[in-house]
Amino acid sequence: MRVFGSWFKTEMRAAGLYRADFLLRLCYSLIAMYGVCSLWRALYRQDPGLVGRPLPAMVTYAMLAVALDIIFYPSALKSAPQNYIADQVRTGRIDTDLLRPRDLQFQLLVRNAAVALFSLLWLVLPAWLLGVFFLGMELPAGVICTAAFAASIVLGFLVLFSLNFLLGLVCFVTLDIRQITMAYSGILTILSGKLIPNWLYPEWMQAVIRLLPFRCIFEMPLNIYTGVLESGEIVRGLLLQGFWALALFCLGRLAWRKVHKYLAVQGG
Amino acid sequence: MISVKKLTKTYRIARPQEGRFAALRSLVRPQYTVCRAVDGIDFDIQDGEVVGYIGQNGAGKSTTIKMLSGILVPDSGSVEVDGLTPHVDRKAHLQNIGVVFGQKTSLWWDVPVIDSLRILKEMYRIGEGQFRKNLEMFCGLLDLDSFLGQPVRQLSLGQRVRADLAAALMHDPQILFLDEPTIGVDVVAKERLREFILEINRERKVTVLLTTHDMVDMEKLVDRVIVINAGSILYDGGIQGLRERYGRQRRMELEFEGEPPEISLPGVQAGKQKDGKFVVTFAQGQYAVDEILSHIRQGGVPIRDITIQNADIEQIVRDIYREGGRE
Amino acid sequence: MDGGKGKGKCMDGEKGKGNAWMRSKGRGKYADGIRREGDMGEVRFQARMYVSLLKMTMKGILEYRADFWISLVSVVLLNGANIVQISVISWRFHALGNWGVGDLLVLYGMFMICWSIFSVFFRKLSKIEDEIVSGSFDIYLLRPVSPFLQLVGGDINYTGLCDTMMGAALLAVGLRMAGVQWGIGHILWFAVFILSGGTIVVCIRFLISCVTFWTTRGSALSSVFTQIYLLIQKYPVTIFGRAFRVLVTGIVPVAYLNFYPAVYLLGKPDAPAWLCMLSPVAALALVCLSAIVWRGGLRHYHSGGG
Repeated sequence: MRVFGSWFKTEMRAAGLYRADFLLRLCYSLIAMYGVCSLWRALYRQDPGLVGRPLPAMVTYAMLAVALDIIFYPSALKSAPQNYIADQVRTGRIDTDLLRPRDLQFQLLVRNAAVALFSLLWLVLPAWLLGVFFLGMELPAGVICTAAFAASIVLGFLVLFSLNFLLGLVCFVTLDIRQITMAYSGILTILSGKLIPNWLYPEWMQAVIRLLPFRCIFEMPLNIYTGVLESGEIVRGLLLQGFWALALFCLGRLAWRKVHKYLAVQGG
Repeated sequence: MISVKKLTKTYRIARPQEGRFAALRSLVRPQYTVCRAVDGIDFDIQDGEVVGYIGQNGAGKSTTIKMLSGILVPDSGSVEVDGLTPHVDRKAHLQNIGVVFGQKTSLWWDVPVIDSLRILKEMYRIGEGQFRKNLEMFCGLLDLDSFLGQPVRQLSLGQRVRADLAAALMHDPQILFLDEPTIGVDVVAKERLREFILEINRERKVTVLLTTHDMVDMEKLVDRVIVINAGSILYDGGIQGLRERYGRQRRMELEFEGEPPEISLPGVQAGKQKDGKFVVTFAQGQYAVDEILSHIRQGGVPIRDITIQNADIEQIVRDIYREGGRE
Repeated sequence: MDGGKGKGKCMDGEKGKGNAWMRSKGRGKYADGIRREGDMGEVRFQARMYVSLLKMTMKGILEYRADFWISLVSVVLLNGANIVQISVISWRFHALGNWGVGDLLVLYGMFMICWSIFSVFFRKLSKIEDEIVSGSFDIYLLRPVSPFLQLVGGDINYTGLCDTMMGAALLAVGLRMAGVQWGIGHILWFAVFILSGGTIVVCIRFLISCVTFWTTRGSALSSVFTQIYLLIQKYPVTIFGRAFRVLVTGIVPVAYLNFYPAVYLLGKPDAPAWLCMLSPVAALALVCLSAIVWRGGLRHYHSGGG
């Protein structure tokens, strides 16, 4: 908890130092939100039936996806697990991580959570407010929806973190993961429901997506927020997210232990 | 050759703001702290002089050099170098000067030194004959031969500075600005650089203005010293004059046949150093050496050995900085 | 950009103040030569220096060779998500407004080609911030060649050709799908559009970088532009509101990278032809603005690291 607080404060200080940057980051989100808002309005004008949702719900979905992108953006942050591990491996400093008594996975989780919470409060929240006031975004469908949405974001964050961590461990196999990272962000963008809601894909693709963890990151929380899910579906969605989060986190742990052992045998 | 009048350069540094809506306010109406890096300095440098420009970090040395070489535009005052105003007649001016920054190279990092020199030949439109002649000369004086074919990133610091010096002189400038040319270079290489600078000054009558922290540079190279502190000139004149004016401190080292005596004269400092030497320092005009010695002899402890020194340049400069020019 | 200010007064031989060594033969010839050459000579000299600088840069780059094929794969991957989005939208909705999938690919391809002009030849512009902060920008001001050319001559990114190739491929596919027949006029205008578009990208990036002369930080501003680029690259400007259209046409004319060229080349009714043909004017205006800002920036330059 103390570590979490100190990372949070570091983030705060950086934002205070480069305030102009900070405002521009908000600007960045707002432009993106404006973009998707215009896109869906145009498509809706064209044929309301094909969108598959009422316009306000669709616009809300798309804009919230872009706003949440700030905390879920897979490769921008230096502290994101894949970037951190890649950096440490490249510079050979990964040894120091092995020597530390604290668990690397947990530490990175704490750090990333602090950064994400900060961005949530200072970037996503203002972007959301502006979206509600100026771009016609809807409020969550109810108190239960709001609570479930909050839980769903946390679980989505965990799924994303665990995936990123696993991606980082690929470094030990190939050293250079830049191309893989690009492919990964591409897949994430397409299959997570961020850019295009999954219900617009062809049937066969939707079937594939249902088997993969990516939709836990964007689609679930957004569906809960816009109130298209019934309470039973919400519970099932949260359970699914929880399952993937746990499974991927444990997988990451296992893999890290393997790497740890391997490096110990290699002599660091 | 170089004439500087009332030269001023200030920097504005954005000041972080406190309080509510600070971010917004600092965007809309930023507040600045004004820092006067160079504050109305005057000096003239004649043809063929070697002038040392010294001062603490942040005193305004580099800022002055950068204005003289046309990198920075002065806020007010005038700079004239060989009849040209550097930042206005930039291109013509650059043909007249050579500049070396000890801390950064002007050569291309990834290509062999000789390629850098060749492109500089094109840039300065140096004739083939002149280029050959200079290359030959610098190879002899600076021993460039051994690393002409190596990329700059593989050179040692000493080699790099030598290559940079050659590059700065390829187009036969009349004036050479050196910003801490010997910083970080080992003693042997330093000596070679000094010899080269003197040689260039003697043979080619190149006027040299150099900044340095190295007092040996001062003693061996320089005819004249300009001391700058907090943007203003404290002293401008010969090294000897500097000593006479500020070097009033004398230092006496003593060894006794026993416990050193108590010395209580106003304005005299005395005491045992860490290395066991007993040191007495006093102002030259205030006491004669004899007065001090007779005072010590009153203590009755026999003196075994004694050395008396003038304060060295480094000590003097340190004193000037500390006093900030008070006399 | 830096022009040849004060050419006429350059280096009168007499200024050497009795320094015999100064008046060596080669020098005297140069001093005379430059005066007779005049403006054209100066331009030719700067151009020659740019080529020489590029040659030097290439020599250096060969030391760290980036794999062309890896870069091509990266470009495809980076743009993959957007292409998928375009195809899914076109498949579901048949079109975006009156823009079919072919039209959207033309839009996308034009953008990439214009962008690649920046990424091949002018990538170093995005490094101005670093150069200013570290003080290595000083060096450019110490050589009698335009600092701008020295800067951009310091990098050439042949992997940027992957952008060009991918852009050209998408453009070709798009044109075929849209079924447009080109006359000679179209081809000429295409060339004009690409050149103007490239100039616009370069100037905008350059202006953003020039902000660092005043603030010493500018990276976040460029990411805002990245977002605007993302929007105009994928979507025709007509789906946006009036304010946005005015912004990307008149204020930061990024719509001239791909939207107006596509409207003209595909014969779309989205904008009048004369508006599309203003593309070179927009480019020229930005070049002038860049030149002014650059001069102001150099005057305001605070050398770092000293």
